[in-house]
Amino acid sequence: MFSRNDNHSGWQQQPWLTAILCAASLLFFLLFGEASATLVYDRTAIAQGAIWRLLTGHFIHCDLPHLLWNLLPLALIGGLLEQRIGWRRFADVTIVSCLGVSSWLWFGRNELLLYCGLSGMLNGLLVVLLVRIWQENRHPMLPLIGLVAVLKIIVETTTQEAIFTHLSWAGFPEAHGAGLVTGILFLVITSEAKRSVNSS
Amino acid sequence: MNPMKQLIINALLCCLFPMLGFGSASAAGLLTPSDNSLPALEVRDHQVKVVIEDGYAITTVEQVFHNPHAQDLEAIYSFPVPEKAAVAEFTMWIDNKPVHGEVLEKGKARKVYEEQKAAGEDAGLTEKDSYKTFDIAVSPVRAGQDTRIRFGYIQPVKVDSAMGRYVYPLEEGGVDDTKLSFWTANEKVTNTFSFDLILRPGYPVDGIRLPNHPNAAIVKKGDSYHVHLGNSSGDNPAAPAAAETITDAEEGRQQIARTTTLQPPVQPDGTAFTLDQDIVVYYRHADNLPGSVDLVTYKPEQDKAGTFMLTVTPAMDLQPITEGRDWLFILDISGSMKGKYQTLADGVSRALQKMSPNERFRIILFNNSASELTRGYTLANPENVRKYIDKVGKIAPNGGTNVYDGLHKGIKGLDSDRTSAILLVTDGVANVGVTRQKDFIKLIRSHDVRLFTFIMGNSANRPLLTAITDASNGFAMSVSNSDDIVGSILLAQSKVTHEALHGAQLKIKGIKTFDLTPEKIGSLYRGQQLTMFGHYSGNGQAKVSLSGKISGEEKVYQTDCTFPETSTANPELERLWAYASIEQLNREMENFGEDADMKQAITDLGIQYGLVTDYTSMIVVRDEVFKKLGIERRNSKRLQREFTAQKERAAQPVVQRRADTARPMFKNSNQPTTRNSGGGGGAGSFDLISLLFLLPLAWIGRRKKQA
Repeated sequence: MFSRNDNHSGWQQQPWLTAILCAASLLFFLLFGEASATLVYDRTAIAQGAIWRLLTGHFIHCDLPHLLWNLLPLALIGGLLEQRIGWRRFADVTIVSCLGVSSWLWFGRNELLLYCGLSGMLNGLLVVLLVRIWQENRHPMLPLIGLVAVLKIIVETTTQEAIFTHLSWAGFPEAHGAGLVTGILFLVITSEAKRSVNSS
Repeated sequence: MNPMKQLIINALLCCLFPMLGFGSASAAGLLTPSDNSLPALEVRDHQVKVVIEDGYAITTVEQVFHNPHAQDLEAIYSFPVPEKAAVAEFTMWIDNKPVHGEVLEKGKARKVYEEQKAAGEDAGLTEKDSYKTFDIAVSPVRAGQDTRIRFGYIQPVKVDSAMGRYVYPLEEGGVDDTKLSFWTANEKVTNTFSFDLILRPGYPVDGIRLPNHPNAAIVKKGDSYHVHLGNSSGDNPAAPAAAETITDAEEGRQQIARTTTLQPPVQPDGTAFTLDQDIVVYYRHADNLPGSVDLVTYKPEQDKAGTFMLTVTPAMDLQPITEGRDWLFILDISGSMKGKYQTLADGVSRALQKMSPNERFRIILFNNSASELTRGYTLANPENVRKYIDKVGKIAPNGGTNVYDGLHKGIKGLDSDRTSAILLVTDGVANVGVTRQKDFIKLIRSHDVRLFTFIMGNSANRPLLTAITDASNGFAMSVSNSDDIVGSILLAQSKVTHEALHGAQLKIKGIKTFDLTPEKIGSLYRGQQLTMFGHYSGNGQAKVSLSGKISGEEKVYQTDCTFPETSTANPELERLWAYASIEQLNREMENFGEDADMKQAITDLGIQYGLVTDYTSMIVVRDEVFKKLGIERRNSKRLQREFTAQKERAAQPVVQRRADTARPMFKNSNQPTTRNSGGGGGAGSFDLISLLFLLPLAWIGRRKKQA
């Protein structure tokens, strides 16, 4: 797990990377419109070498509500997390979460040809944030928030429908689960790595 | 036979034609009176070329008729009406020069032909005999000489559950005894027969199969596929030198993209080919293709209205129906089913075996009248299924076709407390008992039941059967004897056992569209495509939505499509739209009775767009005769435009016409899959609930900072 005296965990650190990611998502939407054909996760294009889509697809949105519903949590979760772990670790978590979700889409859902949106990777960031805040103050609300997040993912994945959003693209809630699992794996691996460094 | 006697016989035959039509015997072929009063001509060459691209097929058939006798004769070639096919070309070589036909009102075209024939001048005529046959008359085929003709038709291609199907119909159903007694068909091709199909698919294809012609050569060249069948290797376009990949036709579905040497042509050189068996070509799209919306347009001038064809291929997200239901099999056992009945029995037995034990069935048989094979509803337990499979297999078809009696008997015994589906299997023309379409529709609408119809062969009364099926919100499937019958039945059964999108509506907003056909869609079943034709003005992005009810719940699918300012690649769309409109008018006339305005509308459309219809025919005479009679060469100009566009398309790489890439209309794949999710496009999003539980997190997270 993250150390409380992480080098980048100073409270005064501004979440610049989060701001940049929010701005990038907004910019992509404004410049390229809904579901940019050049940046979206497109299985066929990726197979032909357009591997940047594994990352960029997460910052593309299919319509304005989709963008807004994802930008707000990014600002919130990203802001809180980046302030705690610093921009470098935050960049690590972000990239790993994006690739984790994309890996699931690629290996686990080969019938899904197109995907876009931040919410999958945001669930990865959320897990890391919850654990980090839990390390700071063992607030009883934190497990509850985690539980609600997991339940929501289970319900949506079972029904294959997003509960409260109606987007122009069909919802794909499995991506939320993939993000959540990626976040957990990230914590486990970094914790193990830290433990082995400490023991050596 | 002296010339005078020949003239008298010809004149007599001409008088009989309006009563009998040209008719046909048991296959496509040259017709000769059965009493041998006239000697038979030969079909020397028969070469078929088919190109499938952009959602429609263009079929051209070039034939050479040979007259081995010492006197000039008239050739009459008859072939079954292909489904939804608009005959748009009839060309005859006069003095070794091709002359394209022009469309006139039916009676007028017949008069011109008779006058030219009587004067000994070269003339040709293509007529439509309602839903049964297209008939081509050519006069004269000179003594000891050949006459070359070509005809062509366009039809939308159907892809169902990711499986495309093309049929070159040759087999006639043998359902019209009067005609059969008068004509015999010479169906042998004495010299060259070839069938070449080029498939230029917008979506990847991973298998091609001809179930009844397993030795067909199938070659992949670049992004297109070439299928060749014939008795001559001379002009085989599926040449081995250019071959990249051969798909073994017999194993096509499983074995894909296997590089090997070219299969030999199907027939050894010199063997006569017989035009008595349909050629059915299946092509299977690659796995994991998404549900999609394809748009093809033709708008040569930006200020004028354009024509479009919008094809919606829904995703496979309709769920199975698990509740027990009643199945009613209504089976045609009339005489014309001989030769097809065993196929029908196999299909029914497969369908019975697939039923679950909580389902019930009844079996009604009909020929001159209807009778029930079962004794009321019977549970589909293994014992009953075995018993009735055996009984169905032992029936010998005979007698007439009283479809109404069969339907009436079945509907009368429906159990209103359970969901029921009727499977009607027939090859026929309702020729006994009640035969009026409006009576059938009244009967089917008297109960809340879905009718699913298998139309076997090419001579069934397709318009009637389709109309009554549509009236019940069911679906009709055409089945050839060359089809994979069992596969077709299982495909149909999968539709019946899954939810459907009922009351489907397709709306286009943001662009002015008009003259849309079909006006009413009805229900969309699992795997079915929806094709809509229409006109549009202006250009730009339009919102396209498909809505309907699935198991009582409203469902809306949406996307955006861009209608271009100009597009010139697909002039054939104009004829496809016109033919679809004509079919709609025909349906209305069948339902509500003949109407002079509608007849005139069909005639006008036929003449304007160069189509052979029930009220228009295509005539070929010498150029100077066209001029003398003041017949405008409208069709000739249209054909030139189409030939130019076809040539240009052939020189270009295959173009995908998908219009919803930026915003996919469907999430799932368009193929049957055991998986419930994925496919197409998906999006992940946070929502109000997520934000609500994140807000405490923000508060908890900030608390430490404040502390």
